[in-house]
Amino acid sequence: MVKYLSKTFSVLFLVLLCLNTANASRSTISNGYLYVPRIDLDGFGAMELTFRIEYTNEYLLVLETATETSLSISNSGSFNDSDMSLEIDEVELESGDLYAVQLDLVSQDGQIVFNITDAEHLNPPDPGSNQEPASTSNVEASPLYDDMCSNCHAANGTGTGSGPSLISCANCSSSSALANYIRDTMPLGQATSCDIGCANSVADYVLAAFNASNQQISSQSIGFIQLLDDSAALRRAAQQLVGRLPRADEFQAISVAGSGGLRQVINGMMTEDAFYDRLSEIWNDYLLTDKYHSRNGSEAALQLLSSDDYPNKRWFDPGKDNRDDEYSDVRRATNDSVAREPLELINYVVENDLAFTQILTANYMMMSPYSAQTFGVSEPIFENPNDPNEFRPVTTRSIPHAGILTSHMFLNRYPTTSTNRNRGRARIVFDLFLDTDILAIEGVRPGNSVDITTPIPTINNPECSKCHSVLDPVASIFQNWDHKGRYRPARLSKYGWYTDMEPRGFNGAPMPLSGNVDSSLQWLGRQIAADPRFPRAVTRIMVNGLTGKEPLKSPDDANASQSEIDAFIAERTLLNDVQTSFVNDGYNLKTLVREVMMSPYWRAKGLTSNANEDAHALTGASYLLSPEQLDRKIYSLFGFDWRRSMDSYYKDQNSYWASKLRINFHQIYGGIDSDSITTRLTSPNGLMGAMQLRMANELSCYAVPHDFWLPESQRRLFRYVNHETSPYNEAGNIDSTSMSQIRQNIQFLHEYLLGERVAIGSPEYQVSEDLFMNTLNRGRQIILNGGGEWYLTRLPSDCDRTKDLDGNELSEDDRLREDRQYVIRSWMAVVAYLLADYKFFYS
Amino acid sequence: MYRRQFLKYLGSSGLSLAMPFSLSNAQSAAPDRFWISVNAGGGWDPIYFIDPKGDRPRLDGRGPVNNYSVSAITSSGNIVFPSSYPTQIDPPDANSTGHFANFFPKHANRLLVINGVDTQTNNHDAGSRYVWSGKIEDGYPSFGAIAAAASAPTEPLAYISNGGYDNTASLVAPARIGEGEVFQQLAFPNASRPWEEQGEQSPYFDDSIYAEIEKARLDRLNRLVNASTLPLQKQQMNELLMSRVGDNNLNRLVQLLPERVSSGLEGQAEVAVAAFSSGIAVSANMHMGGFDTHGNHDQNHSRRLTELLEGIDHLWTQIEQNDLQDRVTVIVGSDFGRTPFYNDGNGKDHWNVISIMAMGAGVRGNRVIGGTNDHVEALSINPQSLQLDPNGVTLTPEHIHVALRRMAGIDSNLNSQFGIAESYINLFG
Repeated sequence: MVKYLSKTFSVLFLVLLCLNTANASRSTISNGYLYVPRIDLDGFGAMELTFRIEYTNEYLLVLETATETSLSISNSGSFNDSDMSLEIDEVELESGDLYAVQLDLVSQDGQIVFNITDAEHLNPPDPGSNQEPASTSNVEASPLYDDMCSNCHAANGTGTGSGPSLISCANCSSSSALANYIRDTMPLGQATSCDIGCANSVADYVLAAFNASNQQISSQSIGFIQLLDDSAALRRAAQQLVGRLPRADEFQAISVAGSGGLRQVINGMMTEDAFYDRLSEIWNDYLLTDKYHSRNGSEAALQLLSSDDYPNKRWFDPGKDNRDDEYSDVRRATNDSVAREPLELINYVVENDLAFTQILTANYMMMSPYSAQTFGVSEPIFENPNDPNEFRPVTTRSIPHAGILTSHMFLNRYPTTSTNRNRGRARIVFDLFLDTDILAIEGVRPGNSVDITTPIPTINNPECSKCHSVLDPVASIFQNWDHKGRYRPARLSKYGWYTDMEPRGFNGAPMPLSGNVDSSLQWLGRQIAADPRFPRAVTRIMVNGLTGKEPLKSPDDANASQSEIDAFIAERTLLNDVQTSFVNDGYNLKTLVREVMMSPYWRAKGLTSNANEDAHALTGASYLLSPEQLDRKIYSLFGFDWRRSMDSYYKDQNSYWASKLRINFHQIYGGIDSDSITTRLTSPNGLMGAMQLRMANELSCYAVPHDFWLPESQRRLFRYVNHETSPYNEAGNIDSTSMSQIRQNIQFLHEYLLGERVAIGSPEYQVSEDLFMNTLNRGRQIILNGGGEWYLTRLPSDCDRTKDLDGNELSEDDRLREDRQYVIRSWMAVVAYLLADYKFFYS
Repeated sequence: MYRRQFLKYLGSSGLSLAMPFSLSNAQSAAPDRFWISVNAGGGWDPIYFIDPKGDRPRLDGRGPVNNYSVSAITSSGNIVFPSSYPTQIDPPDANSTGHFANFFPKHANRLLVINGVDTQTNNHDAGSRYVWSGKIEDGYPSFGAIAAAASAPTEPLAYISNGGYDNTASLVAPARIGEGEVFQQLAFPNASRPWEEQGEQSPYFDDSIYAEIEKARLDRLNRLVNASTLPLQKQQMNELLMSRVGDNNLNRLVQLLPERVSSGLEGQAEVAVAAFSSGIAVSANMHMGGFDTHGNHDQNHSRRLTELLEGIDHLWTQIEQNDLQDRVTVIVGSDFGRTPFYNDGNGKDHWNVISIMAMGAGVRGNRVIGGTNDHVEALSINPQSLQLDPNGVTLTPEHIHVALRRMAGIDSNLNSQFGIAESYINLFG
């Protein structure tokens, strides 16, 4: 029985179940954790327990949190302190199966660890049903699959260059969904050759042969991942989502409620403005509409708008001779309001907990008070008509809005021509919103791709129509929008839309003309919103934003190793569950973000010693911070940007962008301009390595004296020492009190700058103390050898403080220039050492 | 520690097994063979200049192929080009080094033109990928990346990219340059006044102290690498480690750069050649966009071609000034070609057939290989004689890259890892 339960657990451990408040006493499994709502313990009372599940030859349950809980919750089981066993009345599995479980304490040395000793299946299935996971080998072969599918998807379902893998495929959420998809679209270019009966049969085979054991593979794989504790996860979440350190109340929340508290804190972070800055970056990496931001031209977005449609688009310009001082700022703000419209739509949908499908179905567009004037909207809908950052949804009569699909910026970023006929736009739609690479299904191209013999190659040449039968109906849907992104219904044009092209449709179904002729993108938006590939596409983009890499691609190569296949199955299976949570919560993107961040892939800090490293080659969410993220991190830690010395900091007070990471080093450090540079660098090169060192050196010079110069209550770095705290007393001996303060501060800096806790005296700590002391001793020797010359006792000139942050000269008493004991420069050395660390530059 | 000393140290200690890039190929000697890819982003129009057709009307009634006169087509040696521009546009300055009448006579002897290369696509992403990697499928490294990986993947600027297709398949870390003046700051990270002479640079830390800081940083990274159990994290730490060692080599680059680095393509050329000359780079992508001339093709394309050819001319001047003409190979290409007819907006749309230009080391110049018919469909060539042959093969980017890889000495490991299934044709030699 134990063996059976252990096996069953292996099927479950990655399951994403939320605590079911209606059955508060029932224990559940989620994200590799077992949650037990209430167990009464002598001397402690009613406690909520959370166990982390680990796999080392057998499944072990490590107690993570034990927090006081309400007596109104009924008991989940009992703890027997005579034999140190824990009986849990009901553990609910994803399948709905319930087990009564007994756990025995196996270790309480440092960690409290239980193993599984007994279990009883409380709701066993019908004895006639087959409980063993299916596999290709024991599923009867399908002639239909062999005939119609295996050429592209391979006999074992792992896919080929012509067709994607069918393991954990986008449409595999249910037999009916998969069958409908097959009936409507497969085989490519011959969709009518597989009716619903055929589709049902193939769908059943695909699910049974290639997907039945996914959960088992996934749970086994995830069991090898060691997770960040809640505090470390909190720090990572705060940096990633809102670019700051966690607050005290957030630490308090996780100390009280553990992982549940972390969920709450993440929810809270997603209400902050900084989160929406990050969200815009994540989506712009794909949409690339920031090409039209004023950084790439003062009116880069405005010039795309038709003067015929928007005669007031340059409303802010009173004429060359009448422009005032604010002209440039207003012009830039107006341009950026127009440029950011699609990204602001995403922000609006998320901020208001709307279904994320609205990014493609919204019957409105986002406007600021400035862009509203450009678009000719005069209704007073803004709280502050002078705030260019206040965005509101506006429905205009002139355009049948369909969210991003009808955004001028999107349509211009992906323009079309009379020969391209919107196919480029359609390809992007498939890629971004359906996670489908149209080019990947083209298969073998004809020897000469210019077919001049077939009357309409895209329809009549099977090699062409294989792709074009999928692409062209969507391309035709864009027919009411011209190459400049202007709304110009094709039926009103002189020649109409092309007749030698597939008519409007999606997934093999033609678009009903009634009610959709002039608003066909609205119809397309609704189709995509209902397509199971949409949540998968959104997940792909958000996973990239949160982990630095896209989900693993299906191993289409027939030579893919078993480790590669298992890695894909494990991650894909978990992400399918994340997607399910997203969809079930009304397509609320916050749910998707939260569940990704609670997943073991995001929280991975290591692997157990017996893990298959090949299957975890890409496990984890550490990635090189983008220049924008690094910029925010620096500001959050020091309270200022990396730009000039603190004495010259005031000179950039009014600059739009002053940080070196936003200007000088932005491109070198892998940033994108959304125009010619559209992909971020994810591995540092020699220039980036040099920039990191320069940044660490400069910032230590700016931050250390500045922090000492600030009033004690405002210091961020030096809480236990001041700039005169020397390890030596006047007799030249170690001062134990000062030394203790110095040690505390070194320890604090490790945690503050790197998020790592080092014990005083530990090897890692000792390196920093040695660096501090060696610098101090060597510096004193330098001063001594130089006869105490004034320039040797002073800080480097860029590091001293002689002006306030407004540029006013400080009095002699208020200045900080002298460093006769070499204390300040010794701290600079420690900070420069820490700031160049891996943990500083990687999430 | 200098990079090459560091690599020797790794080799002797066996630590190279943990390094991310292809250290098995890493040389401790400075690279001595260099590669430049010049990308005309957006899809250039070869029939406007190196595969000229002129204004002959098409038989299908779609007007002329081009708007310049057939009689303007001339040659310098074997290189054929139009000596003038369509009459209805503002032509480039007659003294411009990018004017056809100046560029081609000057460079014809070293120039190889390969016409009639079928990219089999008119999609920008796919075309760019195909032309610069030799494979239309995703995930293959650009030629610059694979050349750098084969020769000196751990040099700090092994593969410089100014845009365009620069996928590296994790073989090397691409470096983006930005503005040239930041090099001084990066070459001397401990100097608050890096532009001053050495000794006057006002270091943040005394040299002996900074050496200890640097050592502590590297030791720490090594400890983290050894402690990490996540393969991904370990790889990232190794990459960071490699990006940190040998930064002193940037000093040499700074010394070789012009006092003021030019803008645009010319500036890209200056940095690339200085990086080659200082031995810290192997390959570079030069990139300029604007060739996607769906409207007002003749005027817009003329301007872009002039700028492109001026940049190539400047590049060659830099190469010669640094005495690298026998060690640098230059390949010039684009996503795909443009239609042999005009659209309603006097523009030209996408067309799958293009031409490639090459010059420099390993390239026998004053030659034109391949061709196109009046409809600008690719004509086949005999793979031995390289003459047009209806029974021969149609050139594709695969042929170009098989030949390039042979010239670059790409080893069998890399070739099999990123295989191109096409037979070798001696196009360049």
